[in-house]
Amino acid sequence: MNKVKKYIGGDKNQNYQGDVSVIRLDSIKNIVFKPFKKELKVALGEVTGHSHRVITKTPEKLSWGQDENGYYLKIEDGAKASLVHEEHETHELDGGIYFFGSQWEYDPLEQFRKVMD
Amino acid sequence: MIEINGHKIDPQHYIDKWIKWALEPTLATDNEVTENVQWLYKNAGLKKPKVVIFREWEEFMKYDWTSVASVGTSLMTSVRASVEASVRASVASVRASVMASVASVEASVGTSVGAWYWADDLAFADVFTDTKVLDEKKVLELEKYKKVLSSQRLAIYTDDVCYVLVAPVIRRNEEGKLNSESSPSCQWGKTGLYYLNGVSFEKGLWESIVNKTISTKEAISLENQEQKTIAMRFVGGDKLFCDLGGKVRSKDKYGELIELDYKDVNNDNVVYYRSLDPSKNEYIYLLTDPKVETPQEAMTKAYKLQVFNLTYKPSLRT
Repeated sequence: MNKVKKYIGGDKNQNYQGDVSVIRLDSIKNIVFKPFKKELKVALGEVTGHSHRVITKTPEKLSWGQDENGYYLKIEDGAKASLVHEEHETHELDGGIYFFGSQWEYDPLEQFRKVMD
Repeated sequence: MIEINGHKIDPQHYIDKWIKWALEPTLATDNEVTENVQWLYKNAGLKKPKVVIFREWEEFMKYDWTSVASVGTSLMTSVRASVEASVRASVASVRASVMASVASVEASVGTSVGAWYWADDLAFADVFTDTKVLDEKKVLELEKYKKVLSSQRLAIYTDDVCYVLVAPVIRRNEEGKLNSESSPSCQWGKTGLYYLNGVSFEKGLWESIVNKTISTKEAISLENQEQKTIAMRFVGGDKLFCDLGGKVRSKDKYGELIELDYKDVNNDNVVYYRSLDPSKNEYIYLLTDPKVETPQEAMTKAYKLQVFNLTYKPSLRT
């Protein structure tokens, strides 16, 4: 079974792991970045307990931040990290700034609500 | 930021701290709860009561309360006299802005902690102690009140007996709404209250929704619109598509928009985005804004890509 869907002509800076977006950004303002610790959970499924999380062998070269839209990750040039999940293929991340956002489902009562795994 | 006594403070810091405190389950033993209640009565000039402690929601609800006459007002008066009067006198000029923040605290946790009425001056005791507008004696008194109240989130006070329901375990989703698909969102022992995305459900209905045994007909027949919306989400696109006569409205390389022959609360036909999940090779459905015209537009909104001036154009999906 092919577990990866590639799109010809897609935006190289836009990838998706299940219901989580992985957007590579040129820059970001107004986000306070904190030191990366062991891992960063960017989305957690309540029922399955499975999570989309970032891991790395060089945590000292990563930092992270958060706002109402999602999580941000800064990876120093030359360093690497991985976005992993129990049911999805791993995304390898190299130096740069990334945004991880959840999927929001339309709710006729309140416009949009975050999708839970 | 607001300024009190020359100190700049961030109300959100105290709101977060209070919510965390308010949502923690009672750790106090029965002896500690009893001592705390008796201290409250003593301070109010009332005689020592018997203390009945409930650690199960259903026991509390089944209790015959018809003959119970509350003296809660006199206790509240005592607390207010002791705490509020001095606090208000000390911080009168800034109290309004601090209390404006309390409103958001109450909205956030009020129904779940069962003690919203304490989310007043006591909730912000730390503000007044950190900014040194209260003397040390008053600070110690406030701390004692907080300790006492943290052990009794719902209490019925009578002349002779005080009935205390201890604080439950609270489960919320990332948006802070009461939510759990696997257990009560407010749980005392083995019983509790059931919520999905902040909406309350009777246990049987909650079970049929989370276990997905509810039928499409049952889901769309629910009179409560909030419950119906959530139930339909759990019924899922596949079943709704078959049972409610869905048809493909538009299609692109990112998926399809399926319109159901069924109207939502805004009188719009319900529309789902559908695509194949490459990790499982099965269809995923996402309820989408009925006003969108293409699957690409639906996904741009679903991932809030407009925040970055992007439209949905993936290179890779896993």
